[in-house]
Amino acid sequence: MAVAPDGASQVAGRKLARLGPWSGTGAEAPLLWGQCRGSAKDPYRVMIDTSRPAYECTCPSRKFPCKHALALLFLWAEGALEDRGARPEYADRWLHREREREREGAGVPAAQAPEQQSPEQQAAARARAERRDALVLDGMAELDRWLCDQLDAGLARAATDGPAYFEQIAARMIDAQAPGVANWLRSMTGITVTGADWPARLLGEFARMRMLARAYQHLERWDEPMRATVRAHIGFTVAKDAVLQTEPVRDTWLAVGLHDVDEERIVARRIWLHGRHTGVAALVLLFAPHGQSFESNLVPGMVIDADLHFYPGRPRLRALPGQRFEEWMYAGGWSILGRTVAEQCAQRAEALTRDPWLGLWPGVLRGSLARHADRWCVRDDEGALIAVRAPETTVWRLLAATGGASVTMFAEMSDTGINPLSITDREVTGGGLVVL
Amino acid sequence: MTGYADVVAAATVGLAQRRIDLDALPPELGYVADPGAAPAEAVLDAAALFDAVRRVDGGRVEGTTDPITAAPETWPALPEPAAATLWHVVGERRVEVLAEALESMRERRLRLSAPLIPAVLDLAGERASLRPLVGPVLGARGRLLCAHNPRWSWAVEEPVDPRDEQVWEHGSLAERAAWLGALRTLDPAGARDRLQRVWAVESAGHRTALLRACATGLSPADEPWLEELLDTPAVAPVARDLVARLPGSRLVARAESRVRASIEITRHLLPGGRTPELVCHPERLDAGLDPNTLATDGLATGEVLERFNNLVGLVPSGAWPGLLGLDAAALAGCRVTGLGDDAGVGPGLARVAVREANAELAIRLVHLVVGLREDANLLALVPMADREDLIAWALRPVHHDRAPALLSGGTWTESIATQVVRWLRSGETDRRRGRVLQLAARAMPVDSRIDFAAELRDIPLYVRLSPTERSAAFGAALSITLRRKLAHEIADREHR
Repeated sequence: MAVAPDGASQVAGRKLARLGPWSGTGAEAPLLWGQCRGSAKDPYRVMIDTSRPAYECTCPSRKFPCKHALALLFLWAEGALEDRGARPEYADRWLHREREREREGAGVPAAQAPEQQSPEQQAAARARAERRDALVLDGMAELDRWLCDQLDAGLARAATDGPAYFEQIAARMIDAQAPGVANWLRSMTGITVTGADWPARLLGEFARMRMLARAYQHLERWDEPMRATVRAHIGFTVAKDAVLQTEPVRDTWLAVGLHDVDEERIVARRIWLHGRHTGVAALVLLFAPHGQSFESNLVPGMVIDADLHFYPGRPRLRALPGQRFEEWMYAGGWSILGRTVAEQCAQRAEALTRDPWLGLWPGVLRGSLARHADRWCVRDDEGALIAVRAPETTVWRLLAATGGASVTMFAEMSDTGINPLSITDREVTGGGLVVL
Repeated sequence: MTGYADVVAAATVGLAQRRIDLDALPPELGYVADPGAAPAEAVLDAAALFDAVRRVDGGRVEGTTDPITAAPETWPALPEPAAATLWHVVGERRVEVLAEALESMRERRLRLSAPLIPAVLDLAGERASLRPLVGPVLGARGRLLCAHNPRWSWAVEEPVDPRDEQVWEHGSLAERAAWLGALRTLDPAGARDRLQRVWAVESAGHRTALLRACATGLSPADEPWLEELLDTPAVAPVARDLVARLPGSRLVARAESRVRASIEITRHLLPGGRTPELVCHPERLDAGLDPNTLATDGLATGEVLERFNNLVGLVPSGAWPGLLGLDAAALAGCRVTGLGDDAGVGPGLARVAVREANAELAIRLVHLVVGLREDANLLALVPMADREDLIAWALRPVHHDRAPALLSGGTWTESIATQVVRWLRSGETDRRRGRVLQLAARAMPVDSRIDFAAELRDIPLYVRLSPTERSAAFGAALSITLRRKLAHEIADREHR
């Protein structure tokens, strides 16, 4: 993190970058805000304008930016500030003052509130966006060079250099305001101890990452959905309000799976939904600090009659629930068509052509648990096999629930196989949803 | 042809070290060289194509395999409400509650419902006491899971096959002892012969364990060899116990002869009738016997009292009327002279009671001999209903030490439970209160009209409890509530 005034501040910022001492955090490009509990009676108010960048904190520290501002940047980089709450008044006031100051310096006249922006204000907003684009563009060019350098020098260095191998370039990506890429790089820390084939996997990751860097460098070549996809992987956030203004998809949505990912300071919850009438799959992402509950009460087995608003990009997957009309627990009776392995893999392959950086993809398979060459697989009704890549407990729950019978499985699909999340079948589960 | 392995190898050591021919990539990859690209850029472009192919594959597996099929179930599944309660019990790791439920399920021929099977097997894997209870209620689905998971194979282990010589040759000590015991049921002499053949090369610990397995199929034919073993100090106690189970054995005959020589009954006329008194003559105990025989019979060393109890411990309970004109239970109540103050032959008689699983003698002994009220082996023969007065005695302040032992080993009667609650509320309790609360969790009756869970929850209203005791009281109350709930829910199927 190049903006840190010294190493001590960087360390202190890292330590504070957990949601425990924070409250009222949020992000709405280009502004980040939050209140951090410190030694004073009242929490410190922290505000960051990532477009310039500019920092403000009510703490007495003489360091600039202070550890609180650095911590807020870390949280933002980790996705912990995404789409959170309305912008508080104090942050608005500060941003307004900053804009005034900026205009005074540039001789631009005073502006009104953001929602009533004048053409000049809109121009200023565009200028800020252009500045960030320029920062990211520089960052992607640097990433491209770094990736090529690694191949020239040899990937074996990843094993000898330890975490620093990824950390330095990840910190650079934070400075370049590409937190999605920074997270991706950090997720590779430790790849060298995950099996003998790590160089092959690392090379695949680097190749895909370079594709992303190149895609951003030539954004003008793509259509709007692809641009949105690339920007989402880089780490550009989309304001919740903007998502909620998109055309909704109303359906009766069954929550078919829930998967918590324990990250360093937060827990990310993936909730997979299946639309009864549209057959559409959707992913709702929630975030919560360790030990705290999530905002939503959506759990597998729950059905909501609701509007879903999809984030831009393709394929359509991540969504925000909008207006809810009704909710109840699933009691069966739906006609849910489970696909064969070939059909489901073809559907995922099609999704990958739209988004080559796609991670998990929701699958609905019809099949049974089987053993092949000492590995667990799902065998569809035509005999085709796909590897099961699931926690051991999931495998035993699936075998206990089915006894080897064929059922409809809702699963997360990855490059190496499927992770069954829940099953349903008229006979085996009595029509209900059994969560694994 | 350049494959992905070649590309990876070059990238791993560095393109500066190893060149790679990208013109030789598989044509189906669709790689088109960019003339302006640096070598590293070209390699990353090619790697992206390989990566895309790998990702699209998505974990598909080539080959065929048969579906797994579970055998049909023969027992009905646990009723749904009971299954839901048992989920809670397993989640909270309330082993005593689970154990009782598993026993109840076996009695009612109910199997575990499918979702419970992995969780119950995992918990039983950690708690050996649960393991024997799980196998009978697994059902076909559970056995299928155990067949596929080596961690749970213990639940479906077949009884030891005495025809399988591999177990005897290469098994663990426990497996070999089980094998020997199984062979004793079929061919006692053959089993004895197998043990005798390896006796010289077995360690002392293994000899003891394997000799114990010979309790199965014991007969007079074993006596000569067991007699020989009485000379080997390391195994003599086990051998002596085995020979003492043979009523006509020479050891028992010698012991009875010693009793006749060294113990007699006198009767005193006291108020209430003639009371027998056991008169022991230590000087006659070894008269006429050579030191070796005394040693083999366990009578050569130790204090006089210990030697007399060893002697009494060798005599079957049924022999006493013929020897002294008193049965063993009456003997336990006799005054004893000649062995010192407060001395008696209770410990010797207790060994006999345990060996013979003689409940009548055991009940008599724990009532008459205070020192035996903590003997767990003896108490295991005494039903709870026969302990009520003893527990009332143990709950008096001066006898608290005995309370945990007397309260262990079964479900309390309503009377005992009421006494315990009164005791816990009285404030006259001591450091054993925590232990008794632990026992209450599994021993309080759940078929009573009295809600003992509520009684335990209310204890803090009567006496001050330490935080640990308070936690134990509430924990025990919850266990009792769950036991009561499960008992109703499991039985509910029968009432429908």
